[in-house]
Amino acid sequence: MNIKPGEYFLQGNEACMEAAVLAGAKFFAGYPITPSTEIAEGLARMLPESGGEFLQMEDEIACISAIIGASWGGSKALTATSGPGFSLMQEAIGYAAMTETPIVVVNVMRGGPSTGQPTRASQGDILATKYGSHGDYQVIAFAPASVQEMFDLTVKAFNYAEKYRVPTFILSDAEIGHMRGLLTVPKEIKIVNRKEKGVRRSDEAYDVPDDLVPPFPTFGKGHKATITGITHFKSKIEPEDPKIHQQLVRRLNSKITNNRRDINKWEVIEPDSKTMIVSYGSASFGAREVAAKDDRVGLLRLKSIWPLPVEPIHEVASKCEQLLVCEMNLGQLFWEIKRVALEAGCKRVELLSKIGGDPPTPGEVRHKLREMGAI
Amino acid sequence: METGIRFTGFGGQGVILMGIVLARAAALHDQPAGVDGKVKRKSAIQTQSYGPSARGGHSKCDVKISTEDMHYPFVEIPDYLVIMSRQAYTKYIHDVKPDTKIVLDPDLVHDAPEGHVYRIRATRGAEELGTRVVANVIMLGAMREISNIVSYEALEKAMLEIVPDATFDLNKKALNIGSKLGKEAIHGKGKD
Repeated sequence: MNIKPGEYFLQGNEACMEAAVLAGAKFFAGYPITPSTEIAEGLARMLPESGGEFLQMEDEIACISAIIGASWGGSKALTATSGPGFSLMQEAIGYAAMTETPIVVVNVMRGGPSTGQPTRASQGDILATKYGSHGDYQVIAFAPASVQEMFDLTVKAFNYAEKYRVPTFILSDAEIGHMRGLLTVPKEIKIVNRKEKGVRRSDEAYDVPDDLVPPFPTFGKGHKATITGITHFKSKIEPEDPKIHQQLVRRLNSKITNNRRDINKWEVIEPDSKTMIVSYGSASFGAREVAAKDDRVGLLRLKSIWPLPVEPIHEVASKCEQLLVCEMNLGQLFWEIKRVALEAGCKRVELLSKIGGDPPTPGEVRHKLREMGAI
Repeated sequence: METGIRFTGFGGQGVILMGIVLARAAALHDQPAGVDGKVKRKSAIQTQSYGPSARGGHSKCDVKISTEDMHYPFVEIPDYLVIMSRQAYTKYIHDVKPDTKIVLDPDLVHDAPEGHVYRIRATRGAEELGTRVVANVIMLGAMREISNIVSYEALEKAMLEIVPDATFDLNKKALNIGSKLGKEAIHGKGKD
């Protein structure tokens, strides 16, 4: 049963699973892991009720492999996990990128490395999401900072996964996943479905259109299609040809980076402040409180972090005197943001990094800003 | 205006449920008239922390209720601190302001903290109803009476949306007893 338009008081993880079903998800394969388990628990109940399938697998490698298969069978598919499970999924994430399989992976981040802090929040998997699998590839990743955004961005994650045929991530954390707050389900929700194509020629499924996203040859719909992680050209395996590899991998990257303006989402508070903070997810709460109350400080809050939102970072960095990056890791997106900010002419880029499970408080943000001479 | 409420105890007491019911009442059912006669909704966020074990470990649930848009959803120093175990008392009693109102069950917490303390014999009240499991609801009713942070009706409505149908009567009685104990505590009985 799809959630009806109206107001609800829900947990972040619950908002995520309601959004997944509403976006058209018909398949979930998962393995329970704190702090993401509520999503598996809820979908185990909801998916069979709405004509979908739920599978509990033996491990996370099987989970992500199963959702890749389900996607090729024509279902919108997702899994939900956290740190250790996310590490196990890495090889198949690269496979999904290479085979251009639309999937959604919800990573409710907890403190790592290894088993780390199962019940505490972290933003330790930011770079692993983009660089965890081998080779050059692009993904789309969203960073919700409220129950409402867990809902809104999960719908978007499915839409963008389908539109660009790319693995798409929700990078939530233990705080956002377990937080309860107001959710407003709107009357109309935009749903995007993948481009499918009736096949007339055997290699038609491999034609590359202008938008660089080939139509999807769903299994069982009369298409002849070879799906492979090895370098391929049309239906042929061509691992030895440098030109074909270049064309393929450059296209897989370009179809995402060319569309940064379409994909990226952000919010700016007080954009003309002398000092700007860049933050996302749970790390942004303290910064948001400070920016809302202090004229000298503004905030760029990233709602999506991959592909890197170069344009909004460049714009705020070109206008401010100094920039503070605030995140719950030892500095991951910091280096990417610093590179863009320095190119934009910003003189100084500092990092407020906090790990251990508690998001930075407004007091800690102010302390850092005082050190920088900003307030 | 922002108000922070912290519920503490051990896993299994229903500490997190207390926070969920209160926050739900504030977010969905409590609609005070705001400035210019327009109804301004309260915003409410419930957050929680708990140890890796489900029962017996520490359990904490924070609720922040705001009459404005909320930027920072976490409670740093609470305005109201509800304590339902000795362990929670030791862990959280120092995170208070001079005017923090402390609501505790003297049968579970034997210490005598300084400040604004309200003693609510919730466990005993629950035993009189025949089951200890509603001690949390009694505590919640008392806490509402002391804080007046949401209306009784909103709180009861939010509670009945969450608890199983078969326990409606029991929980309604418990909330009512909590309210009475809260009133008594306000008027000096049980207060330091």
